[in-house]
Amino acid sequence: MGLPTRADETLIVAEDEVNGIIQRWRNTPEEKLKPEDYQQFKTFGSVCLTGGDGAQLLNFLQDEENRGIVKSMGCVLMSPLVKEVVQKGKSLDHCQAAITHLTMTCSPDELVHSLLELTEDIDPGAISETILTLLPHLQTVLLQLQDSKAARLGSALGALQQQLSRLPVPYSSQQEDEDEHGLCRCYNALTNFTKPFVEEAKRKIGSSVTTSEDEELRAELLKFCMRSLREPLLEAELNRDRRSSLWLFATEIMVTLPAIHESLSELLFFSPQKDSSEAKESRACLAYLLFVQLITFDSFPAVFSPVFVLQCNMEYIDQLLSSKTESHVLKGLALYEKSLGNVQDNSLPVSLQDLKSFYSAPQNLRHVLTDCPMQNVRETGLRVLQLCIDKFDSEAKHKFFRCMLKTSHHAGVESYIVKNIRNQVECSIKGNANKWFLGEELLPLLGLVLSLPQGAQTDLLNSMDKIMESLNLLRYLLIRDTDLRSTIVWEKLCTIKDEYLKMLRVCISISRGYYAAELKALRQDQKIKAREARDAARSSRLVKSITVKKVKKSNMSPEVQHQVLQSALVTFDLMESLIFRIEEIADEKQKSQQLN
Amino acid sequence: MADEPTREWSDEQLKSDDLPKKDVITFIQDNAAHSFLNEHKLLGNLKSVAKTAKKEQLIIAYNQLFESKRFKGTEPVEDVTEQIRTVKIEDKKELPAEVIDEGPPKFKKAVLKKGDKTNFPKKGENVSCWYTGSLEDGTVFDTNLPTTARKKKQSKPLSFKVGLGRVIRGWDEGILTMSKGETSRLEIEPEWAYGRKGLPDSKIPPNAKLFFEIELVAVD
Repeated sequence: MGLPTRADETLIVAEDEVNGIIQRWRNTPEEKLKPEDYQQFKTFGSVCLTGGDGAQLLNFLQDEENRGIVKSMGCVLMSPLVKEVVQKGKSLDHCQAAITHLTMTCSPDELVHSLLELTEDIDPGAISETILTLLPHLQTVLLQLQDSKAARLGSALGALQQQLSRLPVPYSSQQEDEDEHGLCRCYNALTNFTKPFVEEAKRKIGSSVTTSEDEELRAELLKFCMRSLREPLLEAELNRDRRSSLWLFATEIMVTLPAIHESLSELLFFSPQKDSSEAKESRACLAYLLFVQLITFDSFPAVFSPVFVLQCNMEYIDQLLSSKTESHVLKGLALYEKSLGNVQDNSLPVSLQDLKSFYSAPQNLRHVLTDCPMQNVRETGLRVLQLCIDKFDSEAKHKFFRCMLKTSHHAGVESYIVKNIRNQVECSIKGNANKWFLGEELLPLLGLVLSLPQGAQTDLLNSMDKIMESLNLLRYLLIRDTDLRSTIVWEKLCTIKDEYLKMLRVCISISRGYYAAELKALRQDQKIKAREARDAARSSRLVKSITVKKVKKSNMSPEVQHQVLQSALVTFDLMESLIFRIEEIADEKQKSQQLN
Repeated sequence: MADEPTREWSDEQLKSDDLPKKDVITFIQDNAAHSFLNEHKLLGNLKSVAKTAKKEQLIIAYNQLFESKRFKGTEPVEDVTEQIRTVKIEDKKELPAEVIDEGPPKFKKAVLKKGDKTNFPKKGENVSCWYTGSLEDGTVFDTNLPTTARKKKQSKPLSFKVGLGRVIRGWDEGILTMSKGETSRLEIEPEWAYGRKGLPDSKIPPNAKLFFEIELVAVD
């Protein structure tokens, strides 16, 4: 508030003195005014406002005799006036009127400077109110500028967006409606703020004469759009069926881009690949808004091949899926699903997998499936994984399965892949015969499926899903022996089978022995504890004796432990019975073959 | 051991205007070692090299080739591996071309306005066009033609590299048969358009035959 002592002094200063100072200022040309004069004027203004005398200040400013003073020094009042409006002080209307008067009187350059100063480092609680107060006046002033309008606009937008990025983005419709921090209102206001500049850019560009200033205006507006796509739109939860504030903001951005002659197809498909990750994030959001939310999709060219669109989008999908933010991942999954959906089944060739993003995106998808704590995200991810598989042709599926089996190290994912392999073998047998799932090429794949890489140390319970699915596949193959015998696959398959089952049996017997021992120890321990309890109840001893047993400590209660061990043993029984059945089928087939 | 190539042209013949640059470049490209071509900036597409290389340069190169005897196959192995390393592997945007003969083309073309019949686009070249796409029942599902002539000055035609599978096949194949300035009507079977799936978001139903009126404005 300036220098307190001086302010106090000023309060006590007689009205005559104040008038004297004002008179002096009226007669002083701008060049002769000193920094102390500016400071004094600012203090006068602040004192008026804190004293609730906004009306008096407004009168002073509007007085024609003070026009010179206002023109020279008026800008210093911007800060206290805006603060007063933000804090909703007593003289709100007078302050607004005063600010308006200043914007019409002072030099636009100085005004821009003072207003922009107010956008730096705003108090967190006052961000939205300050911006909402500033915007209309900032617009007025910028429109008055003759030179370097574009540059100033750019600075303004940059500063404003930086402040807005400090506000949290709502992630539920309720939060968005409540708009607690005023983020939605601000972006709405920001749209109105940029409208006249967009109109100007639209008029100028495409006309035969464009200046560098016009180009700069376009560039600044483009920067604004790209920043907006990253923040807040990439985080926002948008839904076609609920046209919320942020949805409308997204639409405005999507409409502004073609208006300033930025072709969406150029931006999305033909941008330089070695771009910053921020630029990629902006374009990823753009792809999502266009292809998933279908905002302005009706004006997007309907001539690109779906495979080309998928290729281009894959980079954005990869970017989004590698993020740890839920809103990014969900958008990535939606874009993935949409892009795959437009492609014919069984059509994508194996050569696509050589592209970096085509390799990376499914790997990221896999991480989402195994690591993401949110079930709805995992469920969507699984759907996308299946769609991914369905769209590859046979050779590509084969390579994909091999890749996943080698890299996932996760029984759940592996079992899902094995199930898919079974489906492909079945499809091949039923009609779509191909060498990848019914010929020589099936063997390396089976080698990966029917293997226990840790040998005797395999944790059967951990790998249960994969093992059960593998055994199912094996059983299926044996049942369909007639279709497989004609190929060289059969003999080699039997070798693989024998080795696999042998090792599996070893693992089961080791594991079973271990768990049975654990169960026995647990039961012993229970018996001892029960006996002790009986003894303690019977005896009249005051001191309880504690027996220390060599049982492993566990967080689970004994009942739960018991359950876990029991279910483990049941699992081993299940596996063994399936192995038994498989061997039975194999023998039957052997016998029937010998008879023929 | 390869035979050394023979000197076909004398200095006088080289300097003569009757001998086109392209012939000299072709000879040098066919016979010189890779590193020689690199040093003399004679690597690459014939047309581009012809644009940038001066006749004097070529004469000098031609003479130097025979003086240094740096013909093809005279490089040590290390040089060759270095060359392989320096060859840039582009992050491919295009799919390998399918060389399967699928039968007759699945589109028909009717020329509405003739082009210059000289500038035909080649695979990989950039083309620009105005177009209107409609369905069999006449519904226009897409166009990049602005509503007024004035706006056409302010808008840009659609630009893309033709023949690389970036657009539907009917366009790729059809536009390759058009010359600069030509306006034609393409009737594309669904197999070379959006097939069984269609493009519902663009109001193209499954198994739709598409009709495009295309004006090929620019080639490369």
